[in-house]
Amino acid sequence: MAENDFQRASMRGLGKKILLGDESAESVESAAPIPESTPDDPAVLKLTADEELDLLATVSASMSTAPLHATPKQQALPPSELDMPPLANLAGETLPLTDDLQSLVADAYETAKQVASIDTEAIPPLEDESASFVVLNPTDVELPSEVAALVGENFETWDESVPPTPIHEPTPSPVEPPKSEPQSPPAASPPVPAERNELSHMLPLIAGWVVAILVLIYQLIKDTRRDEESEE
Amino acid sequence: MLSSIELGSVGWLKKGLLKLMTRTLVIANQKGGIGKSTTAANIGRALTEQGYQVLLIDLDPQGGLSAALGVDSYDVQLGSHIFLLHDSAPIYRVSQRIGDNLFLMPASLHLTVAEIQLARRTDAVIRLRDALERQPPPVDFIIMDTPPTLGILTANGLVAADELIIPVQCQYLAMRGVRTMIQAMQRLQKNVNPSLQLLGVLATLYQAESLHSQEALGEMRSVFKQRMFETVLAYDDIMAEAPVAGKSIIDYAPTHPAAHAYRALATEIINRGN
Repeated sequence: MAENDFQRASMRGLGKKILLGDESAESVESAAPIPESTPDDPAVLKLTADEELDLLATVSASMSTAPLHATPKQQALPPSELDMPPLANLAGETLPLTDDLQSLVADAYETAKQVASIDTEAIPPLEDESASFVVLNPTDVELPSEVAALVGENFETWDESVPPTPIHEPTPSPVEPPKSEPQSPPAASPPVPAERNELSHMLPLIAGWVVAILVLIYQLIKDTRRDEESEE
Repeated sequence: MLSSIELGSVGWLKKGLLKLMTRTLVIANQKGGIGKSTTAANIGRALTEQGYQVLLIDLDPQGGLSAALGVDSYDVQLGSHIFLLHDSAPIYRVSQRIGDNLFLMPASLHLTVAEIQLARRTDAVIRLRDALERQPPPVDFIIMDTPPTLGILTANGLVAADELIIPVQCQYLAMRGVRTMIQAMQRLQKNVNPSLQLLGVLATLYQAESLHSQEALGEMRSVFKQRMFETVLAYDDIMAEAPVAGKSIIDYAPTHPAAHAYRALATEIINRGN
């Protein structure tokens, strides 16, 4: 009896995989390994010498036109300056435009050119233009003298009344914490708003007004009672 | 043919009782040529030997079950296609008496057209179930044979049934289809027919002398364990010869091992239902 010229593929132990598709079961491939592709395999792409040269030329051409490094998309956006290419390039062989589209592009290009050529320095300022609209630096704004005095006084008081912010310096600890995370700097104490400073100055005034109102009310009640007594 | 007295005049109470009394089995596997129709015909016949009344429903347009019992599907005018498409079709008009206690709702080639027509309907896969609920046949078993696809006809069988038998040929390629069948059953269980249960996986076309066949049977048993029927249907020419005579194997060769195997299988089915 002649011997078999093949190795028998066994299903032993593969039932779960075959019947239920259980991935935990031993794979079918292990029992029947897939043979590696050989040059004679029809599935392998075979190229002639000329085809290989053509393929190489195509690949090298595409590599030369392609950017060497991937650039972010933002860089691909057109620059803000008006550096449009000449119209001839737009309407040439690369972009087959219709006549209407060509004229539209030409108009847009001309308009853009005119806008770009405008000399902004030659534009006269508006007659009633207020300085506050023009000058963006607030320190350059001229304030009325009384306002300036008030502001200056407030600032001076602020400087005096607010105690200096203590500087939190990290005290060295005997055991250094692990340097897994960078320590965030100590949070600075929040600045006291200027309105609070104003209120502190107005407190005696407000207290005076309150006392005066209370006195008035007391006087009014006293008068009312006196009138009632006199009527009786 | 079933008489109108038997099936046409049942009341609601009787319908309910019949439904409770009847076990509805479907034999399905999308792999063809693995013995579905032969199994359906012979299980049905074996059950009648034990005194049960059985209705066989052929849902395969190829009509293998019908042919196995001597009914030529090319000549069938009234069959399962009518029952599926027409709500008012009386079950006793589309069924035939094949033997003592054995009835057949045969298939015809028109089933192919019926499947296309069903595809347009929203109730495509529940047609058979609804029809059997409207007209429950006064039988102990309904056994349905299905085409070797997972289409609308097979789905009708799976939706109408309570128990599924998956015959699997003891061969690698046949075994690969079991996974799809079980997944289909699980989907239907979840969405349409929660009462559908796997009654068992049946090894068919077993070749005792084949190492491959032995391995296949061993693997199936190791995976499905008690869900595998103990009965194994061995490959034999008798399975191809009996349909030529238009008879079940039990009628064609009553003492043949294959006939005994089907009797044993019928007993297993009865016992599993108890």
